[in-house]
Amino acid sequence: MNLFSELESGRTLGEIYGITAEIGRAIAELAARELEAGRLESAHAILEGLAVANPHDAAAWCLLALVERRRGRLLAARLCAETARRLAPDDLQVRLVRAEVLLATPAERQDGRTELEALAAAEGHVGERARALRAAMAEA
Amino acid sequence: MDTRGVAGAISYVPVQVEAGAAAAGTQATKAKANGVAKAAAAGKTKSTGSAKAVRATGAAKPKATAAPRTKVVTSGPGQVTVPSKGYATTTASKSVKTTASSTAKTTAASSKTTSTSSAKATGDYAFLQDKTLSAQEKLILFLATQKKNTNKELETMLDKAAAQKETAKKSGGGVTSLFNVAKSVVPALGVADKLLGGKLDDLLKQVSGPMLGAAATALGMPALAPTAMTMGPKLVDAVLNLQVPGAQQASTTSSSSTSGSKGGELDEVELARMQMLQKRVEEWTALISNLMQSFHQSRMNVLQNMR
Repeated sequence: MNLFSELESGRTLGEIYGITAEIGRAIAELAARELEAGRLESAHAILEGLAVANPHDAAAWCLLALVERRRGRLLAARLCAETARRLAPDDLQVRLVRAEVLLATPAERQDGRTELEALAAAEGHVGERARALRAAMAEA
Repeated sequence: MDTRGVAGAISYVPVQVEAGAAAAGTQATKAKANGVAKAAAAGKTKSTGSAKAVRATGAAKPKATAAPRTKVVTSGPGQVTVPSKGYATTTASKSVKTTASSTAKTTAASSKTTSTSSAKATGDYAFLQDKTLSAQEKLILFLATQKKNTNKELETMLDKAAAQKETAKKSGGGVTSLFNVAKSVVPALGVADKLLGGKLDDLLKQVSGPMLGAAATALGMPALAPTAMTMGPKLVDAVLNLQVPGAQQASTTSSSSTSGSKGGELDEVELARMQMLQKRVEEWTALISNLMQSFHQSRMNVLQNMR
């Protein structure tokens, strides 16, 4: 079976080349650090590779949405955020990133606000961030 | 799947808000929260302009930039949901699985083995069970079967390509494969109305082929992935100029060039596959030939020694 056939059958490059979840998450961590340092192109390249290696990893899509948003590519950010939400609909971090992407799009801002309202009750950094953003939006 | 290891990651966003300010309860901190909130709403960062008010009341110590950031925790506690598939299994989990399956072996397992061996006997590789054949003969037969299968695959591909050409001729051309992938992916996300309406070409300029292919796989359409993956970002612009339906109907000349290019795009993928299969057939042939020559040579040597 060639590579194309393998991909068509639903196997991922991660499975084919033996990339484990630990390696995947370590790569995501590396990309997150690049993003933190403001090296968007580098983070984008790493995350795109990770998303292609395992398209089922919501973390890659989630981080990619953040990167794309910061690069000003809102449609790409939206695609990534929606894909992440499809993969992990109940994940609070995924929902927060999606809400922020929605807030960046004027036409979708209301949906973003609604999502933030829902997230404001959450505990931890997600809830904290959602409450802060909600407060900021209320003053806008 | 077991995941552990590295610490969480923090990603920064342009909006920075003092979260604890509103909760503090004093007028001064409220003023501060409002000031930051306004700046955040305007999409700017603010270096707490109302810090003076905080100092005047002495209610709270002003913080420079203690704003919470959007975090995406990739590992450890609170990490983003770990995918149940898509990654290779670790050696540890493999061994656990093996042990579990070996302990669960009962009489049912033996019946399974019997059924497997009977399945093998009826397949293409039934000769491998034949005790009358020598190892060399089995090897040759195995390679020949492989070659035959590859040939079959190649023929199927040729038929498919011919059928595609026919369909393209009948329909008078169509939209590009990447465009089709995007048209399948975007509605699957449930945002078709908002994202698809007139913006699909923009989306394709922002998203590379491999990424779109990955999204297709994530959304349960892995069959679209290979097509999308062969399309590099550089191709997108050129393809869009030719393949967006609006642009396609621009003039007769452009539509004729469109169908030609479209055929070219599809052929790129198909030809690459065919080339690979053809190469494989050649390799099998060479291998079989070399093996037969080697066997013949060794037999000749034995005969000569006997003389």
